[in-house]
Amino acid sequence: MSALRDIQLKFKQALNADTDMSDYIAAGSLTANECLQIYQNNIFTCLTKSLQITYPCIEKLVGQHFFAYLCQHYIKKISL
Amino acid sequence: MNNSTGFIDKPIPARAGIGLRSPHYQAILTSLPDIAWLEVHSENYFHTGSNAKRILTDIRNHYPISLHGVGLSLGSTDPLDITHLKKLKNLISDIAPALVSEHLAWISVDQRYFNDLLPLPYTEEALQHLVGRINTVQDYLQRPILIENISSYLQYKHSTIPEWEFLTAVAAQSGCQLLLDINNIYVNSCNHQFDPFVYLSNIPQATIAEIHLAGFSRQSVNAQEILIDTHDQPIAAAVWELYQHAITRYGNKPTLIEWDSNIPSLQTLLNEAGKANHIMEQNHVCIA
Repeated sequence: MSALRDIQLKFKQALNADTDMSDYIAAGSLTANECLQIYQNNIFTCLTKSLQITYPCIEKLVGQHFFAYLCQHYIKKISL
Repeated sequence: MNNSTGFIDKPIPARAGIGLRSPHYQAILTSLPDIAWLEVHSENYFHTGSNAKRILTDIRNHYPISLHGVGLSLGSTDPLDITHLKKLKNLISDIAPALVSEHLAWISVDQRYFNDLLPLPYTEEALQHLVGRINTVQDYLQRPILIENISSYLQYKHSTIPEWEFLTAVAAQSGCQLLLDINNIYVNSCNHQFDPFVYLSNIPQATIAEIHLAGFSRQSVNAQEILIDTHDQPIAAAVWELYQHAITRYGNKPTLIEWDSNIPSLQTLLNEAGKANHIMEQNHVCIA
């Protein structure tokens, strides 16, 4: 396996399961896992917006807070 | 006011343009504002029968268009998505854009898409991989594409090449041109502590075909301030300063105002474009 593919597969695994990326990501002012969390947040924010646009009625029915909770679990289970 | 059908196959002028977003479709079609060109996200117009595609086809008669892709995943080690490429080629055939661009990034691996532009390690292996993929895309589309530098929130231990050298090598080896995102350079310079002016001084003028400007937000992570490329607010003063330096160095370039979230009124975008035009006009005066 190429080094590039290895990094990408490890990245995918880490986004989903919070596995350690400190062998791959250089720690600067942030640790490797803090860097990864920024990407996790960006991806969740983007996908949550997509779900809000797709299912506006459900969000109105269950409320913003519960919908956000629902999205978080759904995205984790289905998308990553 | 622009002439109908007068802009197809014409190059994009070295003036400011704005991102065409759905909340402004009607206002643009109705008022045909004085803006030099428009850019769209290619993937939003892949569906041939969609309302968005119909509107773009209409707007296209009044403005030069740039197609900016976010979904090709050029840096991925998965096989290139030929279905995606075919849709892009069909869109190019229908819209006749002046520019077609993509990102120095990967967004998918193992058939999973992350809806985010993920950074590559800057290594010789990644460089050769990317150059090969860009060559394949350019051969398929029968035209050169532009590659944009992205914002990033990490650096790989494996990286051996500075980003500006990597970007320049990609252009030199593939024949692609560059879409230089000044906001991304600024965001990265703060997040990774380098001098953004050094970055600009290492990019050859002739490779740059377009510039992007956008707003970022500040986020605190464990008491550290990190800049996030959110495209949801006005362009920061420091980014305008860097842009002014870039224009002085490279000459006037087609410059896009990008705003993708918390989208403001059309007039706000036109005002931001006006600022970019003013900087380019001042530069022209200085040269003259």
